[in-house]
Amino acid sequence: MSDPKTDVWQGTLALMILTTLEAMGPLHGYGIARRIEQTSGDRLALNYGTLYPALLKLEQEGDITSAWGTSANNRKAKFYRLTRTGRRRLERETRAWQTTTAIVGAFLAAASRKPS
Amino acid sequence: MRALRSFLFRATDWLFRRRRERELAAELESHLALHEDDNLRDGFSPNDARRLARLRLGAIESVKDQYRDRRGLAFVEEFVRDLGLAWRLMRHSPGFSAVALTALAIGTGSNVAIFSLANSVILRPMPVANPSDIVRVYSNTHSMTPFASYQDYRAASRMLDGLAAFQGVSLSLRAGAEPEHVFGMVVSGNYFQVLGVPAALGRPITPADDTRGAPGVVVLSDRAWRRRFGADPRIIGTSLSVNGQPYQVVGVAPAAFNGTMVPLAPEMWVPMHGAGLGVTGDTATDESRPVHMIGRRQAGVVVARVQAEFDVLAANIAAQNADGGPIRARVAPARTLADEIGGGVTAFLTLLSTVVGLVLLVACVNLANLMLARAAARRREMAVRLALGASRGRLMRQLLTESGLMASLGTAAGFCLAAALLRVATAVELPTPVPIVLDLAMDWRVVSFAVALSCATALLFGSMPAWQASRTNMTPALKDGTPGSGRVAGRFRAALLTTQVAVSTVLLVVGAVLGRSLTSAEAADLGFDNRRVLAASFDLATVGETPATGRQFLEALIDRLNAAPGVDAASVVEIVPVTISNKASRFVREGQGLDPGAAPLVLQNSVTPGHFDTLGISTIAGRDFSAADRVEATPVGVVNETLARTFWPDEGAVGKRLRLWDGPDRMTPWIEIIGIAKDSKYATVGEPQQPFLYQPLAQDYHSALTLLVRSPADPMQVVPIVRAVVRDLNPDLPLFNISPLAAANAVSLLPVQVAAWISGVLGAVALVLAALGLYGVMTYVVRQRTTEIGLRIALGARPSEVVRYVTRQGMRWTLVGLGLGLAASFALTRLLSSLLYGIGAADAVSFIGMAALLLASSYTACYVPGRRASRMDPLQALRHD
Repeated sequence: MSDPKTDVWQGTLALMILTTLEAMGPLHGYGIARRIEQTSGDRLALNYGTLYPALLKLEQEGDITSAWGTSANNRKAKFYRLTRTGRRRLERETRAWQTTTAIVGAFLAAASRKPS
Repeated sequence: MRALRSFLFRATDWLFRRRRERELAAELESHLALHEDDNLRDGFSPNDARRLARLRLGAIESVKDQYRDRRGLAFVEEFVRDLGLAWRLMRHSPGFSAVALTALAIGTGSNVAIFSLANSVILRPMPVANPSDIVRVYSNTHSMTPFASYQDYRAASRMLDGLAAFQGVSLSLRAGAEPEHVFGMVVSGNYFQVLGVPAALGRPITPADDTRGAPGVVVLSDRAWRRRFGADPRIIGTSLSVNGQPYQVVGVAPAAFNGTMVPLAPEMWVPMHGAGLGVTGDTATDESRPVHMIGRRQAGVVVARVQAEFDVLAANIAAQNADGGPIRARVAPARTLADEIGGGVTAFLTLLSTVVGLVLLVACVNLANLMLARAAARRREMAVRLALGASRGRLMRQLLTESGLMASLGTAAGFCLAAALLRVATAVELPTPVPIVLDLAMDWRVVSFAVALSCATALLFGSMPAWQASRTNMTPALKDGTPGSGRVAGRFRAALLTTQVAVSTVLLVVGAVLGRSLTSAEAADLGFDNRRVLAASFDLATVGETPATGRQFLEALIDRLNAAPGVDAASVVEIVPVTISNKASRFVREGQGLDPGAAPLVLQNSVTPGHFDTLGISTIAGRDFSAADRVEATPVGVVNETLARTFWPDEGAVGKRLRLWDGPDRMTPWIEIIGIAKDSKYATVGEPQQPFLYQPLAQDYHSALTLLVRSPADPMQVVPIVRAVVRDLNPDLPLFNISPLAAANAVSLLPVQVAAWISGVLGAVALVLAALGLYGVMTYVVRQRTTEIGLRIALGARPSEVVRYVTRQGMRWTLVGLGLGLAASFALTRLLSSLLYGIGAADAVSFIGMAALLLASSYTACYVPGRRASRMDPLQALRHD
């Protein structure tokens, strides 16, 4: 617990949500939040509340849809599901993200090779 | 595509916002339940499970706010919600709202009214075609031009699309039994054409009407058509008797068009040449009669080019008239009324606007005050909302919406108030010889002004309290609802109230000083007896009398009136005394130098024999004029005591001679002084005694005159007798401005009266506002300190002590404001001392009286909430917060 937790960047949250839904199938907000935490190895401090405006934004932009359903332990919950548009967006953003990290990684590697 | 989709989503969301709100609540609730389940499974106690779940979800209100921001049309929705809240708040405290709205209505109403006036004078263009192209052409700076020169300009100008001439005239109109005096305009035939004003009915005057020998035609103003002829469209083609000649009505002007001498509104227009009535006739001397000129620039020609052309034309005209001095022509745009009547009016309007602006400022200060007090009472609400995650910007927006709603409603009320006020003002007939008509109708400019005013007002009284309220420091405000951090607010509030009391003190004292000056002016000794004297004006030129026939007419008139029953004495004067009008010349005594610069000034009037009897002015030496003082006899004059004493202190003035400068290089013949009359007032009540010279009308003839008739009883009773005598002599001669002389004299006090009224009314309004403000603030102070006051009562404070405790604070503010106000008033009334009559600038009665009035009203304003506080139930009060 002594590790300083990383804040979720604006914009990356949407990508995480889409990835989670891709991997897990339809899931409610709480489930998405827990899954993101677990995936990050508890290194992300996610304020659960911030998830809902992000979900709404994705829904408004047509990347996900929602419907009320019942959870595993028999609670009523709103389940989010990836749409075709969302899937395309995920692919696109994943590629863009990988490119970006590759470039940044190359730079960092070059910097660390530099004699000090 | 994505943006559009998002927008549509938001828009439909907005429509179903209530359902969405419920859904979000349900979703968050389900989130908490799921998390709680997990926590329970992880072995937490039920309490902790719930608490941890909430903790991890974060500030729910803030989430909801963010969610709402994302969802729907957040801005609109928020605004609608704020508006609803503001409306409920207003309804919740009807007393506060009534006070605030009254203050706003008065403040904005007076501003809208004055703006409408300014609008009609300064901003609104003349109701003619393309008003921006209209120019006035003056001789020298602001003078009229001889008709002959007008014809020269008109023939020569290439830069203008026409140059028209006009002149105001007194006309005698006989439509019914009695001839009536009306103000009309003689115009050149192209007048309506140049201005681009069509006739609303029939046709306008055309160049064909403006030829010698053409039959007389007349265009009626809309006002005259409605008032005199009941808006009968069959009037076109009928014949009227104008100055005793038949004139055919050919048209009616549009309602908005009141001629080109606004605010003087002519009742009719007649062509210049028609039937020998116009200003030009057959003789050469008539060609020199002055006319006003108005023209239209050709498209694309700037005023400077027209000016350049007229510089050349004026030089040519000057060269042709070898005997005349240098002539210059000045071309000025005449788009609006202010261009027409010059800077003085603009200055006056600026003054008025400043005064009403001050009233609005007082109203705003007042409201800011109330809002601050209320904001203090709502500190807890603000703190709670901040704690729940509302942003400060959000709170400010809401508070500004509240003041915005108030300002809008207040301005709407003020707008109605102004409309009512203007309706009354337009209906009032001013006691002027010529009808004055200002088109005060409210147009889009007035409406925009009101809207702008409302926004400015909202910001003015809303921003400070909003800023302060949103700066609320959460923790202390949550802990206790009582002031502590509100020190700054308190000090600001005190400053506002003090200013307000000071401003109303100044207005009230100035009003009182002017009012008292007026009362003493009304009671002042004029030096003549105006009771039981009738005044009735007439103009012999309107019935074509020449000086020779006019003199005969006057002689016959006085003879017949003196013989008539019910008439004690009668005379005719050029200038009615103490009606502001006056005439003065420089004069030279026999045996003194002729230097016009050094010559003393003398006020003059021309009168018929019997004038001194009629007004009860005794002659203390010499004799009155007699019928023997004819035009061909020796010129004679009667001077007043002051002139006699000043210039002939030792040897007496009777028999001495003087002559007047009758122009820059002309002098009258020697005038022999035949009598000395007692001093009296001549132009105004407040004037100092000045040298005065009476001349016989027979020797100094004028055609525009006033008859003064002394009767044994009510002067209005001799009107039928006077009318009968005049009708007998000339059935076409109209009498106008028929009134008791005392009433005519009272009109001379009109300017001071108006100033006193404005100042007094504004002062009263300011006093009411200040009292309401004080009352409002004290009410809030009491509400805020309910606990404290309840405690005092519980500990045994008597009601009178509670009242004293509450009023003490309000009265402290009042006293400071009063002190400042009295000091400012003292400085101001000294500036006004030239307007004051019979009282000093530091008039004790006004100062003490108004101070007492202010103290009494302030005390009442503080006493009522104080008394209410003293009656509260301590148990309930202690439970209050």
